[in-house]
Amino acid sequence: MIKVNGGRFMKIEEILSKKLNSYDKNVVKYWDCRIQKVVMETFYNRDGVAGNSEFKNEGTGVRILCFNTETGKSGWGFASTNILEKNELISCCELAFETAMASTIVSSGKLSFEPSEECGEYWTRLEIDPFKMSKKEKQDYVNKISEVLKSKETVSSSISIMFKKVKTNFINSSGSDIVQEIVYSGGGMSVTNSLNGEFATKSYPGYGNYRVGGFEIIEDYDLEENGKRIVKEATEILNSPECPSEVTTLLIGPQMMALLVHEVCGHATEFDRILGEESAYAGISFLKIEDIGKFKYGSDIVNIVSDPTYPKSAGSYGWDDDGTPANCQYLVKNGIIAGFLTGRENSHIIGRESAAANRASSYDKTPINRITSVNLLPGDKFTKDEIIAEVKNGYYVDDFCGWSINSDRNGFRFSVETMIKIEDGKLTQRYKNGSFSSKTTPEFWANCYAIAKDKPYVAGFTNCAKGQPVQIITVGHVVPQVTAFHNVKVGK
Amino acid sequence: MMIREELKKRFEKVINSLSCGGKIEFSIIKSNCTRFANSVITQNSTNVEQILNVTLAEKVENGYKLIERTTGNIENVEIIVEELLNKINESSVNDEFKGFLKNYRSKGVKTFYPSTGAISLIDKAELVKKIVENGEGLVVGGILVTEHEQIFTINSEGQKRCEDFSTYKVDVKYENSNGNSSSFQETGRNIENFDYETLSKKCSEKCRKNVDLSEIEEGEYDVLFAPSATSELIYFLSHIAFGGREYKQKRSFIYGKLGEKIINNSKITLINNPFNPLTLTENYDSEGMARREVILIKNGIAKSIATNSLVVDRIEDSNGNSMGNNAYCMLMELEGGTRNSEDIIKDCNNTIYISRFHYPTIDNPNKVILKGSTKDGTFLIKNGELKPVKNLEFIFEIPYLLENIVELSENREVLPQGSLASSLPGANIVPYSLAKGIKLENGKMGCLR
Repeated sequence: MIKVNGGRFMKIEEILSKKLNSYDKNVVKYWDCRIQKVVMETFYNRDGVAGNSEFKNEGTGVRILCFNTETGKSGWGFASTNILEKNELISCCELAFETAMASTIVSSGKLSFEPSEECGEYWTRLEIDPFKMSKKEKQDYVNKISEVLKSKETVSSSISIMFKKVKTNFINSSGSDIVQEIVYSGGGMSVTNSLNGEFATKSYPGYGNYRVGGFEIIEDYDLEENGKRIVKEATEILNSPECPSEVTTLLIGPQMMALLVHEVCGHATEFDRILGEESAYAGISFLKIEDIGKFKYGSDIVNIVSDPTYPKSAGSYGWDDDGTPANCQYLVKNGIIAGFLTGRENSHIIGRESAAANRASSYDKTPINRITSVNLLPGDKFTKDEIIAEVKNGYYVDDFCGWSINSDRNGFRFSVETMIKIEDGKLTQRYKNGSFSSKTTPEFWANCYAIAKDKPYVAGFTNCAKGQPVQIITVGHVVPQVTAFHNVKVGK
Repeated sequence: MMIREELKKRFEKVINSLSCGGKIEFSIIKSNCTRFANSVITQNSTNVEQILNVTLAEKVENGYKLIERTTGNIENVEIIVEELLNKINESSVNDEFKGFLKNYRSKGVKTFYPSTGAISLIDKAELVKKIVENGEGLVVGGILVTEHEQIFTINSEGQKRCEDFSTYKVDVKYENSNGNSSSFQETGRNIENFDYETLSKKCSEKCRKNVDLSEIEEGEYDVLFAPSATSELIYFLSHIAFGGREYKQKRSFIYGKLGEKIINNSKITLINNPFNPLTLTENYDSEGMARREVILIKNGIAKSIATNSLVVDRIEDSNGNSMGNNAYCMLMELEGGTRNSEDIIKDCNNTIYISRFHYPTIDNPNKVILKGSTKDGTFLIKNGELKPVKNLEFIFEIPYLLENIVELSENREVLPQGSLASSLPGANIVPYSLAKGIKLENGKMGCLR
């Protein structure tokens, strides 16, 4: 509610919808608004220096599809503001309209959009509400963990935890009215040890892992015990031989697999990429529209879904930013490409319902096709231990620390903190500067021969970047505890 | 778009009433991003945002207790300060913070050009239309961003200033029917410097030549890095080598070597210069220290690093490069040579020409090893003629690569820092650079010690 002239209070939604509905419906063919409130807290301790920061913001974004009756062309426009005064909100609508009309100058023609007609609410269920805990409690927790991130070889250590609450109200010209409140929690820590001029870094969980939920997510990570472990492992890495160079059997742990699925399946199946709309910046995709149901992406045991309904995944929600209800769709089924990450604007091109994958990083950005919770489904035959036990000669890798992906996503190079030799079914020698590379398909995924059936790992990243201006969004990946591949190149 | 005087006075009153140290920074930014793909505008967004940052610092025995909040809601600044004061005791002691900075005199370089902020939505769309038309049938994509930001800063040590910044950023890619591309990027404060006509015509011409790509045989080559690629190499040094915190943590490869020859090549001179009017000029860093020109490498000898008050012993030792908790060089210039790039190319033979990198990432931060692939036009120069070849992967140890540079062009370009052209605030001014003795094996260029 905001105060308007005369001391009367009005809902922001009322001001926006009144203004937007006043436009000629032959010109403004569609509009939607997101009114969003964000609260974020971060607590850190870097090399003994502790601190915290708090971010609060509230704003609105207005998206309009206009039809220029003089030229017969359509265009999208978007405007946002966090100055929540009546005049500013009206000006925001006017800017969105003017921007859309300007877009019609360089347009492909008449655009159509099938609006959602959804009403409802979606809330994250919290076991321990981090926003009800005192700052001191959270800072003390971080400081306590930072105490274990030390050894005589340690030159640098850091730990941070983050909590973010995002409340969004979505309304559109078709009467949709959706309220969602999602709470993200997570964090990570790393330690760098040095010996004889060499450095080794070990992190956990990855460089930060995030899920939907409360402080219980942080407790699940058992940072204290894992902190002690990574300090020890960083020194072990320093005393390890250099990663060899060979083609071999590779078993991939969950943190690494989450990034791999993210980069070469998630991004490759974003439909705007496939349509060339991200070509100038994020890149293209080796996949084509006609690949659905035909293209052999991997071996028969490879099943990958987009599932924003998956509990606790950082890529889960009730509706996307088109107002489409979250739904699970196969991207790869039995090794064959089965679908793409779509929104309402483009799902009709492949004759499908929207995958509810049109997302904006915040109220001030326009939604684009994004990774949701893109999950590699577990196998049904072997456990992680059984898969390791079957390997005569190979390597186990996990914990990414560097990566480079081809523009069309059909090739990659990853560097890992964890690389351990497997000999006769047992993990033996650790290696430093581990890396592996391959062509995404068919080479890599066609050589996937086993996927663990254990309870999968829920990974989540807060730093998936795409779009211009860049939109950094939170995504999730539910992945098996181990996934096994033949014939992978390790080393330089 | 102006911050109201009444608001400035209110912030001043709040700061003056504090019993501890405090700083308020308030900014209003209006930006427009016109994004195009497949030769049409696909996204067009205009944003107006105000951001208030309040930081309080209470001196205690071993340092300071700090607390901060960033918010878009300015209505309750007095309440925010009261809430923070009530919670400041919950903060841990920070022994790195040395207090807020006093008022420093800046060089007073111009940071705002009205024409950049004033360009209309229609004019921008028309500009995009011309860039598309200059492609003459090529598929065109990219962005054109304009911004006007006003920042008011006040602290308990007497700092008080209001600054305006205008920025434009351009990133355009042309693609031919074979799916091969060329691109250009530019950034600056004054959009009147943006010569879209020359850049788009030159770029589309290059794209049209980028057909019938061949493979290159394995062997040893000279490599000519175009400014976009050179800029990327320099960008990675900015934080990994010259970052104040990395140096303090002894993780930088130049740690303990200031004053020593770190690159065995007297052609390499690198400075951080926030005053060049062609770049994203600035007078103050994020702490409020007056920016200054910093010589990082002079003829191969390490001279300095980027610092802020947190990584030095005394506040006055900061050289004005604060970026949050760290200190980075965001406005670097690599000194050029004596010949024009066209003359250098004429004399090239068996030389790989790299336009730009795709997805470069650091493989080993301590040695500054960079890996990735090339994009937007990779060529083999034979007797001064460019012949298109397929993109290549690479792994370069940047300091060693700089040792292998034999010539730098006289002409230089202003480029956004890093491949995330639209998201990073910095810009580099760099020449073409020609390196000798790069090995090509299995489709990958390598330059490692």
